[in-house]
This record gives sequence, C-alpha cells and structure tokens, in this order.
Amino acid sequence: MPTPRVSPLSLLALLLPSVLYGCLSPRQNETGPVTASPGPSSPPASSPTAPSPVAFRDVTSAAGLNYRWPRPTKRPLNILQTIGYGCAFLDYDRDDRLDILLIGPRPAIYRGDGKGRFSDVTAALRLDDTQADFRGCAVGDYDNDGFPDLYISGFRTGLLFRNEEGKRFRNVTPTSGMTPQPWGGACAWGDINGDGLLDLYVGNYVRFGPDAPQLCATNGIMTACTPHGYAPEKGVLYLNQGNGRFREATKDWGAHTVSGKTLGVAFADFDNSGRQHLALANDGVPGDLLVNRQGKFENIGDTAGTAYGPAGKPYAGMGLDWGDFDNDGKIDLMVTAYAREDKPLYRNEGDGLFSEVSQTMGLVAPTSPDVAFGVKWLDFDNDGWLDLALANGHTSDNIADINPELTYRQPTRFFRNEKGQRFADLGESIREEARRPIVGRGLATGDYDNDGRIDLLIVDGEGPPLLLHNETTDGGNYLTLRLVGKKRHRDAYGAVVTVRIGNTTRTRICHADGSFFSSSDPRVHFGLGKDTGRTVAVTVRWAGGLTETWPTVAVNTRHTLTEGDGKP
Amino acid sequence: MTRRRILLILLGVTVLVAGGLRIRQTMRQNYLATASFDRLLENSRTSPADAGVQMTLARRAIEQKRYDVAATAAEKAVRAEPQDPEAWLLWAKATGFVGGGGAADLVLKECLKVHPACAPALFERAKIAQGNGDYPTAFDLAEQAARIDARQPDYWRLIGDTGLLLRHLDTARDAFRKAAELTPDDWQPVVGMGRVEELQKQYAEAIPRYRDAVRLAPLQPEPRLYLANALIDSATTPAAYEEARQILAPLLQPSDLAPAWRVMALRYQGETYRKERKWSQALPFLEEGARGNPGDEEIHFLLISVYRGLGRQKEAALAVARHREIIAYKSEIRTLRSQVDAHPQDAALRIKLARLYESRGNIRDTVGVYRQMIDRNVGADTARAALEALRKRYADAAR
Repeated sequence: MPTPRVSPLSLLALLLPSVLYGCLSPRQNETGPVTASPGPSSPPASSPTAPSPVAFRDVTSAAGLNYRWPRPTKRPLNILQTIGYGCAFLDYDRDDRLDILLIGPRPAIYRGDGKGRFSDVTAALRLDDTQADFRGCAVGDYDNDGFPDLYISGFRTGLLFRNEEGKRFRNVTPTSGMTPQPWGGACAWGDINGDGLLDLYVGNYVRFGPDAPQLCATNGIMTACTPHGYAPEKGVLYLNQGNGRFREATKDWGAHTVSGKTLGVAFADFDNSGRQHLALANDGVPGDLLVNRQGKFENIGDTAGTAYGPAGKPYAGMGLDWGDFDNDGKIDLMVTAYAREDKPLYRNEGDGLFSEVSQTMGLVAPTSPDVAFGVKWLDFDNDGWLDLALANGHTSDNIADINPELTYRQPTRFFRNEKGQRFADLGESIREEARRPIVGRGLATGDYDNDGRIDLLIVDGEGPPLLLHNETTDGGNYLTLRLVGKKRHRDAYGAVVTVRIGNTTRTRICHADGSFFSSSDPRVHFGLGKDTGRTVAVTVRWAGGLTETWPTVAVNTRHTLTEGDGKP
Repeated sequence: MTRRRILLILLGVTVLVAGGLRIRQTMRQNYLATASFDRLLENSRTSPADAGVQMTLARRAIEQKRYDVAATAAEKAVRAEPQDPEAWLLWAKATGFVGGGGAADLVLKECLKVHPACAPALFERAKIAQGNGDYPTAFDLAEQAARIDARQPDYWRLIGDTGLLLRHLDTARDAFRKAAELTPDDWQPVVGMGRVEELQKQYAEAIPRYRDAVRLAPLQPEPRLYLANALIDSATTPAAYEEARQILAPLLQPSDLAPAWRVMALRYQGETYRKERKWSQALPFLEEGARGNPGDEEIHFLLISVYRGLGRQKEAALAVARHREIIAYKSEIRTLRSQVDAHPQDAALRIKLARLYESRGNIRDTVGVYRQMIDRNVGADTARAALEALRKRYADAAR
C-alpha cells in the first residue's frame, strides 16, 4: 500500500528610559521611533481563500540587491550543485540597521540604510577576495567585542571571519584552530558550557567528491542522487577557548553520537534548564536532539520523539526552527522535509517529550507537494502568535522530466497561526511576487527598516535573492528587544524572553540560528496583538539562568535590555 | 443452364466445402483436445510446422509444468505462423517459465516487431517491467497498450499502479477512473483513486472512495485497512476513531486472514486508542501486532508512547531500543540499495545486501538479490553458488 503505514504490504513581542539602554551595546542608545501603525481591527483570516491583511512585497531590485547565485550550465545538477546556499540578516556595523549577507562561491555583504536601500560593501569589508564552495553561515560575536563575527561553512572549507569594528572582516581561520569541513552547511553559535563565550557547531552532510556517484537514475532519468547512497558525514563542535582559539570537542561532549547528513542546526533552552541544547535536522536518517547535561550532550532524539516523522520513520530533515507557536511557554520545534513527507511540527509537552502535531495543525496537506528547506517562525501580523514561512524548491533540476506533475521551482509558503489551534495556508491571498516559484533554499528573518514588521530574505538557488518587505497593514502592536549580555556572552543567544500582557504571556527566544544554512536578526521580536496597554512587563532569563524583569516597557518601539539592568 | 441454376450449384458446393472444412476443423480440435500428451509430443515431432498442434502441446505442457517442452512447441508454432499473435504470447509465457521475465521480454520484443499494435504483448512487457521494479517502462508500455485497446481495465489499472509509484498522480487517478468505469463492481480501481487522493492529502475525497470500496468488497481486507488508515490520519473527532475501529473489527475476528493484514489491523486498532490516549486499550492490540511482526518499526514506535502513558518506563525504553534497531537495519538496507543502484556492476555490494537480508531471515529478498545478479550477469557464478547454499539451508522458504 502506498502510505507509509501500509506500504510494506503492497509491494507494498516606553521603556523606562533610565533603565533601558540602547540595544546593541550599553554605549549606544538605540531606542528608535515608533513607526508601526496598527490599522483598523478586523477578524483574523481563517481560511486560505479569505482576504488576508498579510502582505509581502518583493523589493529586491529597488533595495539594490543585485546579487545572483551562479547557475551551472551542465545539467542535470548533482547533489552538491543542487543543495543551495544560505543568507543572513545581521548588523555588522552596529548602526541598528540590518545588513545582508549572501552566501555563495563569492559571498557578498550589503549594508542597509535602514530605509530599504542596500549597498554592496563586500570589497570595503575585504571579503571580495574570498572564494570557495561556501554554503552556509552563522553570525555571532565570538570575541565579545560587540561586533558580530562570521563563520562561513562550505564544501571542503569553513572559514572564521573576525569583524574588526565593522570596518573589515579578517579571515582568522588559520589561528582559530578550526579546520575545513568535508561538507559543512548548517552551523550555529551557542554558549554550551556557560563560560560566556560562544561555541560553534557545524553540521556536515554526506561524503561526496569526484569519485562518488554524481548522478543517479530516477524513474529511468539521470538526476541528482539522493543522500541515501552516500555515507554520512557528522558535524563538529568547537569550544571557544577565548583569545580567538577554538578546540574541537565533538567527542568530549558526546556530539559524535549523531546520525550525520545534517542540514539544519539550532540551539535552544527548550526545558528551562538554563542550558543550550541542540537540534539537528538530518536528511533521511533520524534527527538528533542533543540535551546539554553540563559538560556532555546526551542524544535524546529517540526518546523525546523528535528523531522521526509521525509514523516513526526517518524523513528528509532539511531546515528547522525553534519557537513557541502555541504560547504555552514551552519552545516547540518545526522541521522541513521532502515532498510528500509530512513537515514535522514537534510540540513541546514538557519533561523532554515532544508530540508531532503537523496534521492536526493543518500543515500536512498544503506542504505536501513541496521540498521545503528554509523555515522560520515569525509573527508577521503581530497578533502575538508565531506564524510560519517556508522556502521551497525541488532537489532535482530536471524533476519535470522525471515527473511532469512536479516543478524545480516551488512557491514560498506562508502560514498564519490561528491562536495556536491551527495554521492557515495564506496561499493565493499572498501577493504573487512573494510566492512566485523559486529554487528556495536559505531563509532569514529581520526587520530591516525597523518598522516593527518582520521582513524576509530568501535564497533562490538559481536567481537573485528575494527580499520581501512586510507590508501587513492590519497588524497588532509590537516590541523589538536587543539583548546585551554582560556576565555571559554579549549576543545573549539562548536567552528566553517573556512578555506579560494582562493574564497572558508570550515567550520568545534570542537566537540567530535555525532555518537552512542561514542566520536571522537576533533581536527578539514580539507581536503583541491589539489589546495591549502602552507598556508591557518583560522578563529575561539570560543564558545561564539569571532572571531579570523590566516591568514597564513601552510598546511599538525598539529597546536594548542589558544584563544586570533589570529587576531581579 | 440458367445463370440462376449455376449460382445455386456454386452456392451448394461452397456450403459443402465450408461444411466439410468446419467438420474437419472440429474433428481436428476434438482430436487435439483429447489427445494424450505423448500423442501430442509425437505429432509435434512429425508435424513441426503444424501450428495448431504445437500450440495445443504448448498449452498442455504449461498445465503440466513441463515448461521447456512448452517453450519449444510454442516457438515452433511461431515459426509456423508468425502472423498469429496468440502463438507469440504463448511462446513468451512458456519462455518466461523457463528463463524468467528477461527471456519472456525478448520474445515479446520480437513479437512487437511483427505485431507493433499487439496490446497484450505490450501489456505483458509492462507487467514484466513492473515485476523488475522498472516502473517508468511499465508505465509507458501500459499507456501504449491502453492507447491501442482502451477497453481493458487491467491496462488502466497497471497505469494507475505504476503511476502511483512514480507519483504521476493525476495520470494515475485518471487511469483508475477509467478502470472503474469499465469494471464498476471492482473495488481495486476505487481504492486506487483513494490512494492517489490520500497521497495528495485530499482526505475528504479519499475516505468516501474507500467507503465505496468497502461496500463493493466487504470481505476484502485492503479497502478496510485503507479506510481505517485514512480515518486515523485525518481524524479531528472521536467519531472518526470509532468508525475506524468498526471498520477494522471484522479483520480482528478469528479468521484465515493473512498474518500481514492482521498485524496491520492490530496496529491501526491500537493507534485509534493511542490517539485518544486510551493507553490500556491500545496496548493489547499493539503488543499482539509486535508479536506478529517484530520487524514493524511503526508498531514499536506507537508502543513507546503507550508504555509511557501507562508509566511503564522500562518497557518504553525497550521499545525505543527495538525501534531504533529496526530503523538502523532498514536504513542500512536503503543505503546499500542506493549504492547498488549507483554501482550496478559491483557484485560485492549486491552480495553485502543479500547477506544483510539473510542476517534478518529475509529469505525472499535475499533470493531476489541473487536472482537479479544472475539475470544481470553481475557476479552470476557467485550468486548461483550462494543461492544453492541458501536452498540447502532454507529449502522451503527459498523455493
């Protein structure tokens, strides 16, 4: 029978000004103007066909993003050529205006003016002579100097760039202790040992090279091989030693007990332990969930329920992201997967257990035809519930020759969270320019014009990037928080932030990782809905466990919360 | 003699001749039908160009499982009357018994050179390709056959079945629909349409189809299993689980239901209770299912949450371990199969795959790998020796 179950047989979200400082660093007050302007209220869209206030506009050209990823001429493409690239929203010069990093054989950085224009500063930052088979990125301030640094992953490469006060990026790999990876893609920064220094995990994919099969027959037609025919490569864990040095500690930390074939990595403190745990999305093999037991990771994917799809079978895990979609205070996990596979949504049930709820949340049917890669939780209508965006594109460039019912380019999908009960596919209610078919791969989120609405940056593996400006007109109130660690690392990755509105709370995490090969704006964004007062109470549990509260934080603006400045 | 009289005489002569011929033909058919096998063999030797004799002998030899004789006789029939497609089809059938699908396919290819529009030959080739896992070819050939003769439901079903596997879902659904139109009492194309719709996650369409199929064939397990599975996967209310249980109930009664079907029914029944968090009610079904098929990873996966729900952490841990073990085995199989696909001439990979199957007592697939090696002449001698050794160890299963 054809379904997984039966198949064997059939052939089977002001501010106290004196308390809250400018965000990026205590030296800089970055509280910005209130620019978001909620429109008149209307009931939420409840079906894909209902008119939606959610609007994204393709502003790529107008923004000045003239980057294009290379399009190989020899077809069909092999697995390396078709795996795609990542992208990032970052603020490399700390001007509180997001910049853009695009990862390709020649990475490029575009500086944002905060008004929607970007200019290519790759050469000015001395990145123009950097060339290799780069694939993904992780953005994090590993040396705590206040400027975000870069790790760029790739096939038989992997480089660490130190951000020299926003003036240039220096390749410090040779002195870092890091080595080239066989096939690095997904990567993430997180302080796993609580020493105040960001450590790095780099996922690796499969063993591939000129001697490995390049193409395989599918339905009698040569195309990219699936990962099943290749041996797995496993990721590496680098412990930050300070002074720019890293030590490989994969085995010491038990991070070698993973399946390999990793395409998605993300840290989160999903159990309120104050420690950073790591989820890995793996392609065709069981997913991993590495729980941080203070000095050692324990892989609990099997027992937690995140290793497999709903039927207990491995699936083609691609990208992933952590977020509390049902506002129960527990961080949940979304993973993207292949066409005709359920895209698992693991609801955190507490006690280290997760339930897969994609079917009941309405995600299975609309995502079924898609090969989904990039994925991020974002509250695009600021109603206080995390919505979803997924970047899609098939892995076989000639899939239409193999199956005329499928296409290489696939539409980006937007799902609106209906109060944690169900996700509505916004489908054609989203402007065509935002959902036109692309070879979707990396996806990053960030409010590049600081208007309080989260924008999207998506990789089209065979074209220009896609910068989607969020022009949702009927959104709720918002709050944007930049966290600055003092006792711990400055980026405050892993901090858990809770906003109290009346009797309800919203929990979000400070992170840049997640999605596919990409890095997002680490500022913590809260959609607050329309029924908030002028201020809300914010509680931050910093990575490491220190909890502080800011009782009256003004809404509809941006703030910097610095560790130690809140009320215990 | 008038013209009228001449015509009457001619007519009379014609009638007499035709009658005589008819009588002779009938006598000959009676003779061939009643002749002993030895007699037919003798006639085959004395009249090698008598297609009738050869075809009769070939059919009889097939009945008696004397396939080599059948193949020789059918070949003679083809040599005698190459314009008769029936002879070709018979030759292909007999040859298939002797030399396998590959040999039969060669005959059918020759047949199609002489009879390019022979739909049954195309269909037979399609079935051989399907049996070899060559679904694209099977799909194409079945489509060709259906273009020639659109009245055969089997052709449309094969298009549907292979289309499903190739995920040519729209085409598959159309094909099943045509098959259902031709055979409205047949549950199989109805289930086929449901399978396509279920794959497209169109449960609102699939479930009524399965219900229809259950009505058409209430005693068949497949429509009930498909319906129960779809109800469980799409359930939003307890009523759906209850309906699934009712649908499955007949399959859980003592019967001669094939063990594999029963295990599936047990799994689904257990899952309906598990989804409702009725742990203790789910447990017996799932445990019995696990006993019935210890290699079913889905049952062990379901058992993990049921044991946890019951607070039986030790058993939950064992189920986790068992599930992991099955997944690891299947993952290794999948990897090896992919490597075999990528390196089809690498005999060592195939042998490794066969031995992995054998290590888990999966004799059918072990034999399948060796047979494929022989068919494709990849390490054929090694495969023959291994197959022989396997026959000795597992005589019944291998046979």
